[in-house]
Amino acid sequence: MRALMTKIAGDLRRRRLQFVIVALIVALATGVGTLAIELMAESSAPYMQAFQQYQGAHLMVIYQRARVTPAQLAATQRLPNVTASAGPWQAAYVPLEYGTQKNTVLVIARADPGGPVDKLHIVAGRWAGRPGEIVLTRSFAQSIGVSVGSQLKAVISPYLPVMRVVGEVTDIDEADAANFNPQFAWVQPGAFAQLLSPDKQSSVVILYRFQHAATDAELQQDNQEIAAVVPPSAIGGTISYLAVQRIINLTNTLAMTFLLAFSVFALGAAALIIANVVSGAVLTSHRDIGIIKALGFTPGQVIATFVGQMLLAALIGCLVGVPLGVLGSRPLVDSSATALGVPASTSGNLIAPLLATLGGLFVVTLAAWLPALRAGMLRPVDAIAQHVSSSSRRSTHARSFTQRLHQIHLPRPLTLGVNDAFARPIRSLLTIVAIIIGVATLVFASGLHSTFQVITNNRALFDKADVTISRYSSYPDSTLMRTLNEQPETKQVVAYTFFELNVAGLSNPVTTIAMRGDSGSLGFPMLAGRWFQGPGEAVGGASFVHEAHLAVGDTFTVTSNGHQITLRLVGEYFDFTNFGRDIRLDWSSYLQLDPAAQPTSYLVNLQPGANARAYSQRIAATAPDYLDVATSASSNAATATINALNGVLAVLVVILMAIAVAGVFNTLLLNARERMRDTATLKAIGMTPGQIIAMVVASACVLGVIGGIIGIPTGVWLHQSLLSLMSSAAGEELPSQFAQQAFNPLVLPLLALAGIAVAIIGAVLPAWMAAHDSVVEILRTE
Amino acid sequence: MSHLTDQHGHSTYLIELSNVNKTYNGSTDQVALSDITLKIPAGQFTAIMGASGSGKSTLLNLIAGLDRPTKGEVWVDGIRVNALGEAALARYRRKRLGFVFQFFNLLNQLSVLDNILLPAQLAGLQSKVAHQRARQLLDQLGITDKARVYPGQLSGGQRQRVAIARALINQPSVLLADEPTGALDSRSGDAVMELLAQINEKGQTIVLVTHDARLAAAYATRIISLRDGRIVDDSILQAPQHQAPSDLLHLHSEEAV
Amino acid sequence: MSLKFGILGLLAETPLHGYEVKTRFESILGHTWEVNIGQVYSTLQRLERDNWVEAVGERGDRGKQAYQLTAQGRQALDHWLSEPEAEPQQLHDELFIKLMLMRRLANGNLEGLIARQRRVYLQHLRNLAELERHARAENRPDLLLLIKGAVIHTEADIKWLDVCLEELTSLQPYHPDSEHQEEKP
Repeated sequence: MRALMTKIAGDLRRRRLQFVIVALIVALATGVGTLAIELMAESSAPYMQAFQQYQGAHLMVIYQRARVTPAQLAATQRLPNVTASAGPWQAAYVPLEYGTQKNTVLVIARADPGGPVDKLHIVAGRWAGRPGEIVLTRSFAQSIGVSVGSQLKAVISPYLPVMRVVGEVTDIDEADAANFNPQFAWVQPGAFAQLLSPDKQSSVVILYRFQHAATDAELQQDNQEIAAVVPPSAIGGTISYLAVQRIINLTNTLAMTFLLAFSVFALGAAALIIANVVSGAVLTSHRDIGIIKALGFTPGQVIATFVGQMLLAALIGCLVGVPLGVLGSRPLVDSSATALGVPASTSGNLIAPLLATLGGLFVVTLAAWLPALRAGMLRPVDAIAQHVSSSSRRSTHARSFTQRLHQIHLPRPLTLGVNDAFARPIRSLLTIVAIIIGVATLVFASGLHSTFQVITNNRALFDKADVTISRYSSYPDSTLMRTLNEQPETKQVVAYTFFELNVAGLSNPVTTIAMRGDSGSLGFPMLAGRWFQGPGEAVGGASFVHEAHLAVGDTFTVTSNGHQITLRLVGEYFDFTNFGRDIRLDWSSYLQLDPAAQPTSYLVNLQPGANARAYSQRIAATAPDYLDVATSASSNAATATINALNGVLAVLVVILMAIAVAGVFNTLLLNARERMRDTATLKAIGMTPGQIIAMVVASACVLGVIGGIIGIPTGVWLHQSLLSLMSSAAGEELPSQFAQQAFNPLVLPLLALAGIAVAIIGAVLPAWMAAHDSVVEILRTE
Repeated sequence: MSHLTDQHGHSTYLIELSNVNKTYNGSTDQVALSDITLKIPAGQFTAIMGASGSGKSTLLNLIAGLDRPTKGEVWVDGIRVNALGEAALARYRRKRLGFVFQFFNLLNQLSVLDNILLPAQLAGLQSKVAHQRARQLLDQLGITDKARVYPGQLSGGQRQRVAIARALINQPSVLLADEPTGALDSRSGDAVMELLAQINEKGQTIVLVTHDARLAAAYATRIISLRDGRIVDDSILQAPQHQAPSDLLHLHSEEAV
Repeated sequence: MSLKFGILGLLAETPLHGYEVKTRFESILGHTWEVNIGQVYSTLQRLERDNWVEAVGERGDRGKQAYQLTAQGRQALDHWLSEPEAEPQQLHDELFIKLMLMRRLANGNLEGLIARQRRVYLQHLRNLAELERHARAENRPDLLLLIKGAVIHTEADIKWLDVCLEELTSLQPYHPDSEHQEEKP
């Protein structure tokens, strides 16, 4: 044992650089692993747990205050299946302006954050007291960049009262601001009056908990019982906790899946490099192996010397990587905790670090053990007798390849380098795989980033245009349209409004958006069929289509305001915002239901090069009290979760690329060490240091190019797999154009350059070392 | 500067070392060469002899520009070698020097022909010319049939021939041979030396480093002996005299029993 | 090299007269050694006196007398052949004495002396190499063996000079007074 330790220590001194590489890549790989496990542990404290803890509401019903009596509301709260309820609370949609941003929130008049249902967790500040004080969700506050003490302007014509943020809460009944709109905000009941605009009807909110509410069907049943008690048009909207849970799960599944996948990749890449290090060490120390065997080391002990070295390096790597992984997981854990409406757990859970360490050590042992086996099996006589220069055994393939390369008149140093790339086929192969993993991660990450972007862009209708305008009903549509059409920059105006449609066979009204103008050009992602083109045609969100058991081409009957029309479903479209439970139709169809209808919101796309900000200011100035004008730039901010995911993705890319660089570095170091004599000879016969560097870099570039070329389709494939996994996890289809839009066919080949970049970065130091090694000693020894 | 020049401003010597010192820095400074002054005219076959550690290889490396003198000047073929940068040194080696090593140092992944062509390609010699020269050298060295063979399939003597051909492809001013027979049996070693002597007869300047007095005396015309980094002898050997064999053998008839 | 046993060896094959002994001997040695005919005759007479050879047949033309080996002579030859050489080749005592004297005289240029001697040996090696080329050209393996022997001896001489230089220069400069101490073990 003592001899073993001495041998290991001696070998480590000799292979310091490789030792450092192994420690580094193990640190990176276990860091990612820890991150993934940490997050998984965090999210496996499921939504339901927090839901129970905070007595979340199974159903939130928003009543139209004018159409329901307090007695009717009280009756709903006394239904036998209702176990608890909170409210009724007055509520109203209020646009809040902060800087250039304007976001609408549902302001609820609530006396205190506690109570039997939906306890709010105050994470900053306090509950609202006096008029002018407001409490926001933390997610919303972060998404618009305000905190306790900030002042917001409530855009309620004509007062524009200033609201001061006094507290931030987490709410179990909402998902994060990125996925759940509008967010809720709270004021004291006594302070609610100032937020009511004279022309806007207020709502009433009641939160319910039921005996049976585990499934959509049960919740549907509960919903119908409530609907039976109140007048038919009283219910303005409902929010199911199951829908909220679905969004949260989607976000987590997404993060989890790629984190896990890539921690496995990172470990895999690390394993490849370690296998390379060990087999390289075995190759170059054949004589040593023979000698220590002759001295009485058993095959097991020989293997142990190699595995032992790697384990020692790996252990150091774990000691660095695992704590970093724990630290790195914090922002994402916090953000998912915010989304869950629960405070982030700060418990020092040892399971993740332990698991990552053991996993890392296991993989390293395996990766080192396989090539070390060869050393263990070596017969001492052969080992001592065998010459180091076994490179004369070389495949004729490589030879003819080199010759062919030379025939196309590449400079000699480059053809030599290219040839060197194949000097050790298995080593090159393992290195290429490491590069593939690096490039694939990059491709995957860039794809996912654009997918996030696409999802973000599709999240809300409001984000789809250069300028969005909300009109108050007292300002005529025709005036606004004239103003807009007078502007030379105006390219296109799509106007729309929301209303509720009762669909035959469905108990709950369906949110419907009637659109005027060329709405098809807004480019909603289609899952099936096409966009509507005229009266009588409609498109439906996936959830609605499924709920109504419709297929593209089917007709269905709808009623509103006592009018009834028949619509044909011509397409199924993707809409993240309402979880797909909505209908969109042409303005002409809406006019059949409500001949006096006027749109309330306007999406304006400008001519290329137009200044959206100046345009907005000009439009707003025409009727400052009656128009809300916003540019898309202000509402396009990525959300906290997606930012966190993008951040983690960036870290993953950097780590896996770093591992690939380490792999190339290591391979070239091994190659250079084995080919020292050739390099020295080349220098002696007149190769300049520059040419030597070119030669080594060329050999790396071959690996980089191959890795890059294979890495791209691999990354695309990974991205597609994740998307399909995502959509199955979300219980909703994702439009195929998400995947298509993810990769720009012009940019994609450029990502292959990343492979070359990895190769070049990894090659620089070994190449420099090879170019500046002393020739003299090497040439004189055999 | 003691650098001699003829009326054209060129040195009358092909290789000229003046007051060269080489010290290796270590825990204790090691003097490898001290105050070496040496002039070698073109066409000479010079052997540098000495025990291991005498500095003979250091001397060769200084001429080759593989190492730099701590002090002093090294001129080869009108080039001040000690003043060149790395890349310039490489070009100098490629154009002016041929190198033959003890362990051949051929590139195993290249064919014999490609090995020979390599310096020509590095020097940017026209491919046609290079091939022509390579063919000539292969013929001259008796390895014509080995052009397409790889070094791994050759005997030591054949490999050294390939190495000599490689050293000569760029028609160097100086051929440096560092123990060229050290890894060969005596028969192939003699054959290789015989080749070098033939090449020298055609006017090629050769500097040979060896510890083998017999080889040095048999083939070189000048023998420089080094000891502890200093030149202890520099002798130009006479053309072999036709002596009676008995004199050579020290055979002395005994006197009466 | 012993002429006496050389003659015995030749006579062991076949009876020969004096002049035949000389020519055969020279031929065997590859004409490296010119044998004095007088020396052959005087040696033959001495061998006859010791009863190792005996005259055979009639004295021929111009007084040629053939000799053959006696049983006693055969015994002596066999003994000589089977006996290994007791002494290695002698060193060049004269050079050794010169070296010692040089050192004693303190002003001697040891290195110069040794260098000059080396030159002689190197030149000798060169001459041997030339001789070897001839021998090879004339396909004389017997002669090649002799030459190789000479080469090896000369190389050994050069090595000895190197050792002399090494040893002598590492010693303190010689002082007659310290002679006594120096010779102590």
